[in-house]
Amino acid sequence: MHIQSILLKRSVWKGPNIVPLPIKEALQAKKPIRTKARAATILPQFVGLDFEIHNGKDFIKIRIKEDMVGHKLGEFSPTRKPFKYTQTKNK
Amino acid sequence: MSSISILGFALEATAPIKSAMVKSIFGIGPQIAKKVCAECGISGSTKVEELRETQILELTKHLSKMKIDKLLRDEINANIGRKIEIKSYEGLRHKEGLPVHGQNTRSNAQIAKKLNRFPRYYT
Repeated sequence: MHIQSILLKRSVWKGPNIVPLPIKEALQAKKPIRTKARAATILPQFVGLDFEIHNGKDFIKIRIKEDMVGHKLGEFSPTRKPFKYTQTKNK
Repeated sequence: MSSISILGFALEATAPIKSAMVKSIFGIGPQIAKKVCAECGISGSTKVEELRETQILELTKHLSKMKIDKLLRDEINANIGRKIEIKSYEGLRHKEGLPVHGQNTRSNAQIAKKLNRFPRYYT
């Protein structure tokens, strides 16, 4: 990934957006973490965990992979329905 | 129109070396062409057919080290492919062929529809 694109996102002194999430309990119980914190940065400790991320309507289940580190949680639960063309039946 | 091949790229014989490189090599624009010419000790306005043997050797040596053409295309495609694989929002937009950075799509969005295809540059 480009270094510049990371640097331009957020000022360095703030560091990544860390939101307190129940990671330890999730590791023990092996249950997905249900959260609405879409702006939380994915940290290396999250890899392999299951998350249920709110998209405004319902919770979407994803598993964190290694490539996802550095992205935000909200990037993986789309908030809009993709447009599909349906033909009208009654004419 | 005759052309001279340097490292497999067909450079126009009668054009100045700087603009010939810009025209026929992916990954070299005006600024980088200027830099390459300066580092090889060639004037940018020299015509391609008038280049001496040693200058051509110097150019090929320099260009073979750079990330151009296929290498660059593959890197860009790998970056997009990673985003599509992890199914992030940007990846979904690339896959659909729509603008990635939140532009309007009610009208226009023609450049994205033309470019945002995977794999890119290989149609």
